[in-house]
Amino acid sequence: MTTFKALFNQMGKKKRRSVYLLALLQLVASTFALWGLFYNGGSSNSDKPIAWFVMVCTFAPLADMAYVVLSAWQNEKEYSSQTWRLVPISSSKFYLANISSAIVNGLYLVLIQIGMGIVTFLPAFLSKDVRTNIWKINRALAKETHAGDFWQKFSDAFPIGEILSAFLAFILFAILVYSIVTLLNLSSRTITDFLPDKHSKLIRFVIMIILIFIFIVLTNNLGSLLNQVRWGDTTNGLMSFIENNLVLAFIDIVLGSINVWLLKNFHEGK
Amino acid sequence: MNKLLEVKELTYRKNLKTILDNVNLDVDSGKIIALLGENGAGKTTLMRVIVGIAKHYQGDVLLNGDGSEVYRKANIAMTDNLKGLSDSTKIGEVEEFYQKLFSDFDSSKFEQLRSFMKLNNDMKLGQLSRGMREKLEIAVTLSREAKLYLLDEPFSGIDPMARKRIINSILLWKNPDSTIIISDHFVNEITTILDEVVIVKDKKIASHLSADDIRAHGKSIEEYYETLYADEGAE
Repeated sequence: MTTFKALFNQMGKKKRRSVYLLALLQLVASTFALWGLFYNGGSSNSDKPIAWFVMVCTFAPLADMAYVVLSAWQNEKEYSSQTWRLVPISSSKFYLANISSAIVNGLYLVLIQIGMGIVTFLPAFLSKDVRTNIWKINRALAKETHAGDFWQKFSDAFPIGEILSAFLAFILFAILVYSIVTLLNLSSRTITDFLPDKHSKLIRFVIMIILIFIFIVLTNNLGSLLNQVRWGDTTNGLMSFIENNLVLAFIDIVLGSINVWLLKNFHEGK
Repeated sequence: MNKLLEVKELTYRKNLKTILDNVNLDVDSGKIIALLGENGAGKTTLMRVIVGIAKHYQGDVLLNGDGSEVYRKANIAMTDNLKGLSDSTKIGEVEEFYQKLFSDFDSSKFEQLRSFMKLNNDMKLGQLSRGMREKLEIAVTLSREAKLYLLDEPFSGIDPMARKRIINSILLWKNPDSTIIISDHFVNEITTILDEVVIVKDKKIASHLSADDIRAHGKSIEEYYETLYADEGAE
C-alpha cells in the first residue's frame, strides 16, 4: 500500500512547480511595473525607495488567486486521472493528500512572497527618510513597552489567540474553497454518468449551474440559521473566531465526507 | 493451480447502457491469457473493474479472495496512458513517480526494460511517439512485482519488429507465479505465448478455453476467434 506521506509528496511536487512559476511571474511583473513607473516619471523621489516593495505587494494577491485557481484545477485533474487513481491508497487518504498538498504549497507561496517583500524592501534603507521613520517607530514602541508590564503590552500588540484563530480560519476557508470545487466537479460528473451519453458536455454544464444555484440557496439558509443560534459572546474577538472556525470546520467535514463517498463509490479516473 | 482472480456475476452500466452483463471469470495464477473481442466489446471496462478504477458495478471481484479496492490496486499492475503526468515529465521522473508510489516497483528491472525498449531517461513524455509511449507503459507496468498484470492493447502503436521482440521476451520478465491478461487485436502475434483465451462478446464472456484445447480442435486461436464472431454474422 502507498503511504499518505509518499502520495502527499508526489502531489505536492506538481503543485510546487506552479508555486515557483507564480513567484517568478510576480517578481518579473513587479519589476516591469516598476520600470514602467520610473520610465513614465510617475513616482516622486520620496516614493522611489519603497516603489519595488509596493509593486511586489500589489501583485501578491493576484499571484495568490492564480495559485488557488491553478491548484484547484490540478486537484480535479488528479481526481479524474487514471494514473493517480491507480495508486493503492484509500479514497479518504487520497482526498486528504490532494487538498493538504495544495494548502501547504499555498503557504509556501506566501512564505516566498514574504521573502520577496523583505528583499525588495532593502533598497528602502538607502533612504535617510525611511531610516529616520523606522527609528522613530522603534523608539515609540520601546517607550510603550517600558511604560508598563512588558508581556501585557506584547500580548496587546500581538494577541496570539486571535492570530492563531485567524490563521486557522484561513486554512479552513482554503479547505472550503477546494471542497466546493471538488464537490461541483465530482457530483456533476457522477450525475452525468447516469444520464445518456449524448450531449454530455452540455448536460454537465446545465447540472453544474443547477448545483451552484442549489449551493447558493443552501449557504444562505445555513447562514441565517446559524445567525439565529449563535452562542457565546460575539463581541469578544477570540470567541467570535472560535465560533466561526467551528462552523467552517463542520462544513468542511460534511463536504469532505460527501467528496470521499463520491470518490470511493462513483467517480472514475480516465 | 491457485485461483488468483474471481469475477462473479459482474454487471456494469454507464450512461444508461449495459457494458458488461453478468460476467463470470476465474483466472489461475501463473498464466498468460488473451482477452479478445471487437471494439467496444467491454475488454477495457472489464480490466478497469478488475483493477478497481471503474466503480458502481454489481457483483464481486476478488483477488486471492480479497475484494478490497486498495488490495487489488496494490497487487494488480495495469498499463496506463500516463496522462496524469504532464508532457514535460522526463522518463527518469516517471520512474521516480512509480518508485515512490508503488512499493512493488523494481527500479533495476525498469532500467533493464528501459534499455531493452531503447528509451532514454532524459526523454520527455511530450517528445515520445505513440509507439515509444506504449513501450514506456509496458516497461513501467512490468517493472512492478504484481500478482496480476493487465495489458490493455499494449502493442497497437508499436512497429511490427519491436512488437515481436517485446512479445517474445514477456516470458523472461514474468514471475512464474504471476498472471498476465493481454487484450489485443494482433491475435496471431501473441498466440505463441498464450495459455488461455477469453473472448468477450455481447457484453458477456462468450468463451474461456485453454490455448491447447483450441489447438486440439485443429484450429489456430485466430481462426477460433474469427469463427466465434462469424457465427454472429451468419445469424
